[in-house]
Amino acid sequence: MLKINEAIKEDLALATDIVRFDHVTKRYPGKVALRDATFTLPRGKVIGLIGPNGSGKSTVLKLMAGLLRASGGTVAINGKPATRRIGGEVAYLSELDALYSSFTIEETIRLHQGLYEDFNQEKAHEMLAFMQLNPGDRVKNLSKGNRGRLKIVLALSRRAALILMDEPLSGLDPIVRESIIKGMISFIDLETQTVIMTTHEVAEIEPVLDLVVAIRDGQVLKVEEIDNIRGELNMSLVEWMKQTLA
Amino acid sequence: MKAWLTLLKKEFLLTRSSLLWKLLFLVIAGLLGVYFAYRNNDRPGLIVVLAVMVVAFYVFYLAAYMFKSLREEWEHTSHSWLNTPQPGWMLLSAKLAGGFINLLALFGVTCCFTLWITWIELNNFARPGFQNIDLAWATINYYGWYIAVLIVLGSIYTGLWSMMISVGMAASKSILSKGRFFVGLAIFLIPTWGMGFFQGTVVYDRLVRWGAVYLPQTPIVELRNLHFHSLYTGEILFYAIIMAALLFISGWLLDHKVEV
Amino acid sequence: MGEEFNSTQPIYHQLVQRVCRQIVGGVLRAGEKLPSVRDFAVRNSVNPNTVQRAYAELERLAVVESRRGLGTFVTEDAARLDELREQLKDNQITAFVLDMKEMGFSSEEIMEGVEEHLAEDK
Repeated sequence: MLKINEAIKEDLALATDIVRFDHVTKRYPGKVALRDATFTLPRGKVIGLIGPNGSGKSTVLKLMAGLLRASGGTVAINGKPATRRIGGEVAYLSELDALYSSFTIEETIRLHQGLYEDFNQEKAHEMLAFMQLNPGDRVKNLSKGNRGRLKIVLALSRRAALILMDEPLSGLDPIVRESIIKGMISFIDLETQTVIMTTHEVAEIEPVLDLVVAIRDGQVLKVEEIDNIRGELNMSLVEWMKQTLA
Repeated sequence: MKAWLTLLKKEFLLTRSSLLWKLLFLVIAGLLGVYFAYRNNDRPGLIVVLAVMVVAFYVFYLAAYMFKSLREEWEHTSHSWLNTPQPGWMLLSAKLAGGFINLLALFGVTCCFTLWITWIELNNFARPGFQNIDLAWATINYYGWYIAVLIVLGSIYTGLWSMMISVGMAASKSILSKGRFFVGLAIFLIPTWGMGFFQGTVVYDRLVRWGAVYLPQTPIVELRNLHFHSLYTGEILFYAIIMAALLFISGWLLDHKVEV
Repeated sequence: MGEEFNSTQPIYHQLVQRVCRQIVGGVLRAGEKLPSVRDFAVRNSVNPNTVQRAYAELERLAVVESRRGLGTFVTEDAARLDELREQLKDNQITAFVLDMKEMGFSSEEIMEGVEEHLAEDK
């Protein structure tokens, strides 16, 4: 009887958890980027991954995106192991400018349309209008802010179950950041999607988050609900962050 | 299929403007070559030799193309390029196909100009001693096709090895922090030194010398006695298998060992 | 509606308060339709889940009611609205008095100060 219950629990967990890290370690020659990380993340939430520079946030995200492979332990996305080809179910917004600069915005959208089955071209054009981007512009001629906006459009035009964003707001001015945040809220579908983002703009992003994961020096310290932080612990996210990451 | 075509379109779009500039350059260089060939009265065949050298270089075109194209991806767009559900061999073969289109265009133009220059030089240096322009022209036209096909196939071959080296080096990045160059070098030695060595062995002989292919008899009676390297099916199969293996090994490495 | 949130209360709670103030203040009238969850979320730059929670809480307080397929509407129950008005007034005054008392003012001083201020206001 106990065994059946465990199996059902396991199934339920798989059904509700979009991400599962099981004793994940990531080693590079001469450095350990992530140490024995074990946690699960639920679906349908906006999750913030916060921590100082070099703490391993990008590593965690890239492990989820299949761009890195764990040295030890397993990474499961949607119940499946994260391989390089998990890109069919995971949208990844890189911190780097990983766009093909000679393409126009329209050409970039058509490229994504052709590669991803879950790409919604109408939504993409809707978002372009929202962000006030001109499809005929060439990527290399876009301002930094507009490139940031385009990256969000590409990520959110996909119906992927998991959307990963690595520093989507970094280096952008407040107006652009606001439009990206509003764009995110407008176009995300939390009934079918989960968003995980790393960011330094903790105070700005707090109202948008459901859950926060604190990481420092390659170790995942805590996974906490925003409501608990304010409700029970009575502090803002910034204060909690200072306390947890001290 | 749609995905592969999308990838091919992307590869082509990436190099389209560069291709146009290169074609323009070739046309200008070609016309200059034609001009100098007309005016060449003292050194027979000089321009032709230069033109043929350029033609021969194309056997390395795809090697250079693949190396450059992959380097652009590693350095700038790796996160986009690899965050897709398509398998590695599809990503790489689309890249090669894009290069192939470039190759055909550039090689085609170069060959046309070379033929034109050859015709001019042949006519310029027609002398009582030099028997038959028509014979020479027919020979060139006849064997030229075989040589052109060989160069194109050779280019694909070198392109695949270049791809193997690039992907091999990228794959070893997660294991070695330095010394990736030596990995590349080691892979480079296989088709060069390694193949040369292997092809001298008895094993190779037994493996490959079967199914002789008979090329259609040349219509040029005078050449029927000339004996070129005979072509064996075994040899063709040998190279075909190597090329397929290169694509699939690189694809596998891209899917399982490369990290960005 | 781009005001910042204070850092001590859960955000959904502050959203509830905002809506209540808008109702009492007449910005939102009885029976008026509230913005959709998503619109509200975008306008305030908050997570739609948070808005969902706020709307649920407002419904629990009987300040709003949701009608299937149509949206969420301010209640038309005049008694409830009056009650809400009284509640907000009460909360404000209680907080104010507590604050003043903490600073050491006496009840008389507080009364005086308020009357003076209101007299000037006219």
